Amino acid sequence: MSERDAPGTANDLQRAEALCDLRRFGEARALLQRIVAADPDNDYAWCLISRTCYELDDYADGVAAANSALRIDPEEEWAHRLASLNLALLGDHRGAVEAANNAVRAAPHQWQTHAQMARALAFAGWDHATAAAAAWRAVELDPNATGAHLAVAIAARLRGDVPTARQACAKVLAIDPENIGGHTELAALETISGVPSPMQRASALSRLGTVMRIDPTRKESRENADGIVVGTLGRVTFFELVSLYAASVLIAGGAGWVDRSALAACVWPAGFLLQFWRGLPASLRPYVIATVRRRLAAAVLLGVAFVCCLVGAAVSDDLRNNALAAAVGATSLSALVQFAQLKLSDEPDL
Amino acid sequence: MTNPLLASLRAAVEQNPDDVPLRVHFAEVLLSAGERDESVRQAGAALSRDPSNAAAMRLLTGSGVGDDVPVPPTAPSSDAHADADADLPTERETIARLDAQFADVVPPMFVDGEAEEPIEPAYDVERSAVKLTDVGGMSEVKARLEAAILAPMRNPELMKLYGKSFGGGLLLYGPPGCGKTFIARAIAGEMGAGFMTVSLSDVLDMFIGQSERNLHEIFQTARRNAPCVLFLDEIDALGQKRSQMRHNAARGTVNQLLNEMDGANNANQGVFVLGATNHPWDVDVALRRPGRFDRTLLVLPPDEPAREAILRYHLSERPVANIDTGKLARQTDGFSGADLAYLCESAAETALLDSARSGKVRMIEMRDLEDALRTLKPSIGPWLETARNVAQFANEGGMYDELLVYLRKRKLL
Repeated sequence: MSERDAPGTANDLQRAEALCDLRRFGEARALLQRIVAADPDNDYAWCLISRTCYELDDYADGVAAANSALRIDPEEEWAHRLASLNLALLGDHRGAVEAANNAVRAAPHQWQTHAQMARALAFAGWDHATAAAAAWRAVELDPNATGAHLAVAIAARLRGDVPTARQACAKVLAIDPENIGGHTELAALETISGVPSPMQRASALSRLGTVMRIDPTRKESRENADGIVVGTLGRVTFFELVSLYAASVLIAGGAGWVDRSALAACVWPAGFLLQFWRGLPASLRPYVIATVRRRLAAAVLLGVAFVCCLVGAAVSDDLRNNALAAAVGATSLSALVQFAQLKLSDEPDL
Repeated sequence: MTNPLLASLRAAVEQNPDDVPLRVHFAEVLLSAGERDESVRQAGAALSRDPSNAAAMRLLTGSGVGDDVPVPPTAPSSDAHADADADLPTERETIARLDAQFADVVPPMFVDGEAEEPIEPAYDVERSAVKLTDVGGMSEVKARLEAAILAPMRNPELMKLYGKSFGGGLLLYGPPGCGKTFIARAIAGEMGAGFMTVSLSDVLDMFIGQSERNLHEIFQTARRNAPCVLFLDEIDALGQKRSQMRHNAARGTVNQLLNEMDGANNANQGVFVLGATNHPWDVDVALRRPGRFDRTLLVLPPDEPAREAILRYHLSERPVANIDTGKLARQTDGFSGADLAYLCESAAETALLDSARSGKVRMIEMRDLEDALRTLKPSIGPWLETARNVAQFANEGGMYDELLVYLRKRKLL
């Protein structure tokens, strides 16, 4: 049995499936619990419960429900897969791999089992080569399954093979341009370097914007998008502090034109911001403005620092040190404000 | 039974069940052989085939058949002749007696109107008595409804002049528990139109049954009862984005809904379709095209006057003393109608428990409501979280501009 050929013919089971289709997982779960109360041997209902638990982020109950299905039918591949999925999210990677292995054993000709095996292994981080092999096996079984290509992308990203991961994502989006997993994975690939360029940040944000447009309920995507904007502001502040430190060393013992150039050069992080801004699609700019507006003090202080640098480069030598001091002060204060806002969440109280 | 005559007659009747004279004869022989019950059954079966058969009737009435059958008491007759004929059963009594005797053998020939199982219409069309004036506060929503729908409806000549027809759709969206259904009823009430509701459970039934046919029947009922407001509650379930669906029946339902809303040959003249949803972002984009749900209205949490009206309504049937609903309304900014109902419920519960504990009944006081209020938070938070994402990332074509303005006003962006 698989999720596609449910044997249940009872109306309630069909209602539960319809509710899952409508993404009303809470209502579906309540209905399914009534079904299993009346018919505890209904393994398909247990599997559906496991799925609803997974969607409702209740992974422990998801594992329990999958195990209930497996007690009825130990060869039920969907139950093994669901157990693996929920266990991986509980952080039990050993259990997740074991369950995925059982799923492959139960249904070796089903691509879903190999894809889950690939994911479980990739997230466990033990054996990237086997994970990649499992993912490719899934693709081999169904070259049109987006889930199989996505498994290839995940396995490739986690072992650092960015080109393969990109190709797999491109395949996913060629099959289904609205595939949330594909866009999310591409966003992750843009920021994989740890210090992404402004264009990479803009591209990642654009991908996440697409995800949010397709499914506005995705909390983690929203958090990642906010993280990119806040992170960019933080990065620019850091660059500015480093530049100002270097300038202060140069200004202390340099000639007039060197001092001027050193201070003027401290404006370069503003260029980083500008590049990020230019890389953004127009539809996302209001969102970025709104997000920065929530950190208005920090942004204004950073702006003041840039202005001080420009003024310092233009004024006479005796005023230059004052301008430098003001720039350092404003940037440091901006960094402090950002740090405080990060610690004390400034999200609007909804 | 060992009587060979009876055995052969029985076999003959079984072979020719519709031979009434044979059956009557069999009943007579049975009666003479002392097989009274069987005789009655056969006479009844003969009557069911030939209700005017005098011999069969005679067998039943003239032979004392059914004397031991309990007959429902009849009302005392005022007829002067009734006493004289008291021992003789009247025709009505006889029929009643026979009906009772053969209820399981012979289907009734005639039935009274009240005895007939009423044929339920598949979908109810009701007349809504609610008007927009019954909706407390929400002046902005009322003004928009008036301008967009009600004013044109009240001026049919102008509608005709400008080539507008009574029809189309309006999508009400907003956080849960904020009165979308109530407003829909009020719109129907204002229009003086019939009101039909299709809820989520109807939709789920459709997914299980013959969805397209059921949905067609709903629209047909609305068309037959035009002018009619057809209210599709939780339209996101009925018209969900087809790209999100795996269930074939659900996809078919969306397609059918699109067809019905398009209503070929002006079929929807006089049918106004109202949709309501908490998740407009899940509604298939095809449903928002002109002629379908081309107008949208954001129904937000109640404003202060509306909150006061809601609080007064929920407290009106309860024993209350010194309640400052104005103050409560000011303190409950962001609460939905459902939240306010729950607030009143919680306060009532506290007063009830207190009364039970002390053995002395007391009124619901302001402190009960304030205590309850301290423990409650507006329930629309999760909705606003998603709405914020929608306004920022999915406001294509300015569909959510109203929402954007609201979120900005509340400094949620």
